[in-house]
Amino acid sequence: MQLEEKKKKEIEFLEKVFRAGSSTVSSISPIADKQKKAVERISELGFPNRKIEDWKYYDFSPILDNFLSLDTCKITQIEKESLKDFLFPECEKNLLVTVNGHFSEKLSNFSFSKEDISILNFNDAEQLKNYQGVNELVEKYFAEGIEDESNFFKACNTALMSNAFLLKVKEGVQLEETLQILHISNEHCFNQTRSLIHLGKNSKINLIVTYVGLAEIPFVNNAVIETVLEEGSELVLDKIQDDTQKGILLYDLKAKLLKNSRFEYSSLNLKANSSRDKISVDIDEEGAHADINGLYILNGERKAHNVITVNHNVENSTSSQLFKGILSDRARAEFNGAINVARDANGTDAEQMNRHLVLSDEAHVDSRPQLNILADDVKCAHGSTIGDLEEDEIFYLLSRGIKKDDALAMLTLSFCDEVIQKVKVESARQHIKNMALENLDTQMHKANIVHNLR
Amino acid sequence: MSEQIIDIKELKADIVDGDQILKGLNLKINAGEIHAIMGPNGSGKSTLSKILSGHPAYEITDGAIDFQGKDLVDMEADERANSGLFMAFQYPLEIAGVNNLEFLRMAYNSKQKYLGLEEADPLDFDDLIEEKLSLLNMKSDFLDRNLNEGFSGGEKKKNEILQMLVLNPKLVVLDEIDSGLDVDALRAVAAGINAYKSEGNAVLMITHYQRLLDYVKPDFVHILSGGKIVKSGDSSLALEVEKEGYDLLAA
Ligand SMILES: Nc1ncnc2c1ncn2[C@@H]1O[C@H](COP(=O)(O)OP(=O)(O)OP(=O)(O)O)[C@@H](O)[C@H]1O
Ligand SMILES: [Mg+2]
Repeated sequence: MQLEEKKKKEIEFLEKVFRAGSSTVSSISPIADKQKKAVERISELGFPNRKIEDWKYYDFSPILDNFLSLDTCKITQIEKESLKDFLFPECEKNLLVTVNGHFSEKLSNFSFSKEDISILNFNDAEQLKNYQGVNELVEKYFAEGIEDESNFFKACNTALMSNAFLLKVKEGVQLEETLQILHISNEHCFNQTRSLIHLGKNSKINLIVTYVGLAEIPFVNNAVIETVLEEGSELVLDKIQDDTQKGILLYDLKAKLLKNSRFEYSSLNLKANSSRDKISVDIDEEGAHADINGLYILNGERKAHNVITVNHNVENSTSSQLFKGILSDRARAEFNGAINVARDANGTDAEQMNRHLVLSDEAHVDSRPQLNILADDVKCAHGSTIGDLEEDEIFYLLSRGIKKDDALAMLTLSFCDEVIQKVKVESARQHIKNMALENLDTQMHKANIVHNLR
Repeated sequence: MSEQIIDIKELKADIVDGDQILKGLNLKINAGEIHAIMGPNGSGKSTLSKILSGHPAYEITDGAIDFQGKDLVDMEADERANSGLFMAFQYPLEIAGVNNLEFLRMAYNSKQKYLGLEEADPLDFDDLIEEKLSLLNMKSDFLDRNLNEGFSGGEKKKNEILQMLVLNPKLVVLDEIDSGLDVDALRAVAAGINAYKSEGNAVLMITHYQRLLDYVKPDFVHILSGGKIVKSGDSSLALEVEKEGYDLLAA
């Protein structure tokens, strides 16, 4: 009976996606082609299940259980005032806002010239026509991998995306300030956010992408980012997932690194009922470096999945991964991190570290580091730890008169600090710290700590 | 007669689920006094200092510790500290991600709060710290760094003394504060101890060497061996130890 119920929901899901997907096809041909392919693939594959390796630990029922009303994914009136908790003063002049997957012109503003950094709406055929090379970019880099069964939700996003945008940084342009991209959900819906970020040769941009849920209602946020870093370019991308406790987040990031480019990425999962981050990095040309970091702080019944793949496809490139998680109550975390070094990729230097702080007996961690090395001349290091706070460290603080709750909060925060420090924007770091403290065990005297710790 | 700071009576203590380390230790310290404890490696000196400061790895099985009229045994570590007990660690821990200055401020304010006093005004606090730093010949950069993270051995020891000066306790237990210090650092640390020292407080130093005692002169020297004080004397006992070693003394 239960199984039947589940099947019914899956079919309902597929039908909805199929129907909506068929009616939202873009008028731009290379995009439309990919969308059609996505719709086709969705019907061929059917709803995913745990037999797919990448989804082994994932519980699909919250997605199915929450009624996914695709129709209500529309832009709603939001006053800037209501966003103030999620805006960073450093990014005041450069802000891009989407509401339920739709670009909001009213809430966005930019200090840079359209020449240097263009933000193009995939729905706006007229606008796209004026830009050279867009078709080529879409053909080459957009919706890669949607035929793969593990990328079912990316295919859904491709089929359903309402307002995807292309962020294009012109060759040689370096933006000193940080651009904040704020994705808001405030409806009970299956939300598609989508962007393709292209960095021209020797360009540089800092982005801080925040996903925010404004209403305490369940919703599914299905986010996809694809990025291409041309020769010598540098992208700093900090993702803060700040959804309400009821949000279910699916997130898919694909980065392609060309010669001597540099990608610094940090993912901070602070709220949400469950989050799944799929991050795949392809190093396709020599001299590139990828720095991939993550922090998740989970309490209650919350879950976080991180499925990370770094592919060293060519000689002489480097990567490092640092993922840290704190779990209390009955929280669950999965870390599935692979480093793949191709046969010719000599001179690869890759490292991976995954640490969990588990504060309760009922919390559970599945950590699966994987090294697949086919080349000979390679430096690869990985480590993984699961533990509690160090008794001696707690004692050191107590012996200086600091209360136990405060000591625990300080040490827990210090565990996070290594990842938090990677975030470039100061006020974002502060925000993350506050969120972290809010999430940590309720017995901790957070008010006191927030007040005392910078 | 001067005020009694601490009175340790027939103290017996074990490692939790392990061996007995202290086997009936007696020690009384009055205000204005400086005591030194010497003793062979593994005799229980660090254990004594950790037991006094309330480390959870040890349990007291017998005896009593009277600290300024309070029974120390029943107090949590933070309460002991806030009541005026300070222990400088033989091996101070590195705590990544905890800023040194913030830590000092937290500790200071914890004590103020415990005593029902007002928290320090940040600017006044900065002034207080600056004064102590210069006494120890420490650069203010240390304040911006994480607690002991990447500090050299000597810098860690100075940082312990800095904490001591800021918290201004009633009794300090200095566990090998002199080990790993170069001549200048030793002088700076000694200057810190001497600046702290007054008629109203007391010092208990654990050391292996005479050289610290040249700068901070003890009123009493004790030999701890096999979990007990086996011999006590004045400052000349330290010189004897230096000359004869423990084997001869114990015999
Ligand atoms: N937590 C512990 N677990 C196991 N053994 C311990 C523990 N703490 C102390 N010991 C043992 O108790 C004994 C006393 O140790 P302690 O550190 O007090 O010696 P010490 O006198 O300070 O020596 P040193 O001069 O080398 O610093 C040693 O044999 C030590 O190995
Ligand atoms: Mg010792």
